[in-house]
Amino acid sequence: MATGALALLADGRFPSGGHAHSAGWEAAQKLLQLDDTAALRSFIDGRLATVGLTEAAFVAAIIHRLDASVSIAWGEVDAEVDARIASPIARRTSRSLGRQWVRAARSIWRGESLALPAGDGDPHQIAAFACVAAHVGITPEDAVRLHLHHLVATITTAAVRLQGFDPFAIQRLQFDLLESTDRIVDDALSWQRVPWSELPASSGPLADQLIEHHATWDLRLFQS
Amino acid sequence: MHGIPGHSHDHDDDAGDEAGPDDVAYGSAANDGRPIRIGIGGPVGCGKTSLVASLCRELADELSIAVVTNDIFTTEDAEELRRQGVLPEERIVAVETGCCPHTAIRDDISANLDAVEALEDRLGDVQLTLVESGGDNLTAIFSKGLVDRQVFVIDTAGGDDVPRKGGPGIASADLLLINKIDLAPHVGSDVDRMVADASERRSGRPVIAAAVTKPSGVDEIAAWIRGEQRDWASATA
Repeated sequence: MATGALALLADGRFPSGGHAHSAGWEAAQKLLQLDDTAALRSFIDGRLATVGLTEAAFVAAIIHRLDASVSIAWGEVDAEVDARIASPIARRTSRSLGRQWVRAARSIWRGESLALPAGDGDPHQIAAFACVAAHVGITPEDAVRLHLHHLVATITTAAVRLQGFDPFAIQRLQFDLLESTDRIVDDALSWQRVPWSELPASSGPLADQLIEHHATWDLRLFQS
Repeated sequence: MHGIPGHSHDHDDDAGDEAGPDDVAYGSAANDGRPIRIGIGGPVGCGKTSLVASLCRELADELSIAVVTNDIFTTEDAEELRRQGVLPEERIVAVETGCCPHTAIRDDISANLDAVEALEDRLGDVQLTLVESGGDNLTAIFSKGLVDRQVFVIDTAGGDDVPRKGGPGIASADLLLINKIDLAPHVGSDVDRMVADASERRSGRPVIAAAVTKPSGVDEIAAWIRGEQRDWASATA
């Protein structure tokens, strides 16, 4: 059941709004003239090692607490995630995707008791996603892997659409990334029991600046 | 949730609403009280933005209208509508679609639902929401989770064999508009043939041939929309 649910959530056809985003690739590709798959790989490596680890640690820590029925101070989680995203545009994007996860969850699991991030505003994407993963019985390890998969696939899908890369080559690139992704998964899982404020806070200042720049463009294909 | 005929539940009232798999109706969330949402779809250059502009000019005095546009490139269509001044600026918002306009109106409607609901909430008095898709291909239809009715637009300059080719947009839209009939003689298209071919594919659903930028060009379409809006409002009142 949990494996089946994992497949559902891993499928790019799951309607949670991600298809309109490039996770910073459109901006980086254009402004830094990243034109080949080696540059794409470097960009992904950078994102995985920075925001990838930070987000994955939060996903693992949230699901760990939900599974253990430990009550979560959502306001604190929200503030800690906020503090780790330097770009206001990226914060807004994260909340917009969080709202879309909440919408999907409320609609799909309508009538079920579903723990979702409490608070007035829209939750961050990782918080809403972690709640959905916990609800359908996905383990912290699988959820972290899934989240990192979506991060990578958001970038590679955008690269295929923007630059026409060979889709087979891109799948091979993603396959080759699995080994380094495993290390990030292990790292992220080691933070499950740690207080929110002490979770990893890696980020990429250049990527944050690119995201801000992207938002000022007249013509762009992706929302972010 | 217990609406399956002949499927009874033997439990007391305190047992809660235990919907088993047999009971689940796979529909969208409840629509009570919200305005009718009408999608305007069709290929690139068929006149979707012109249709929205003309409908706003025709209907804005009698209905409170909101417009959500979907563009491949940023917010061009919304800007064009604002520039034409067909509605107050705050009644038009744009959704960006990440290279895939059909995904945003059909497969993953999240961003559009966000935009539509936020706009309807903010304006408060909306009676008709128009959702314009980005220019796409003949298979691009709107999800029933996003709109209540849909208009599919094609045009004579796109070739008079298009209705015969069919596809989900032409076959299933609630209204098919064959636009730019004024251009037909110049591009060698036979409007009567287009209407006949389209009607054959549509099991009686309406087909309108018009030139929406010409005087009175939008009258028939506006009348259809008035009727749909009226029926929706009385059904949800």
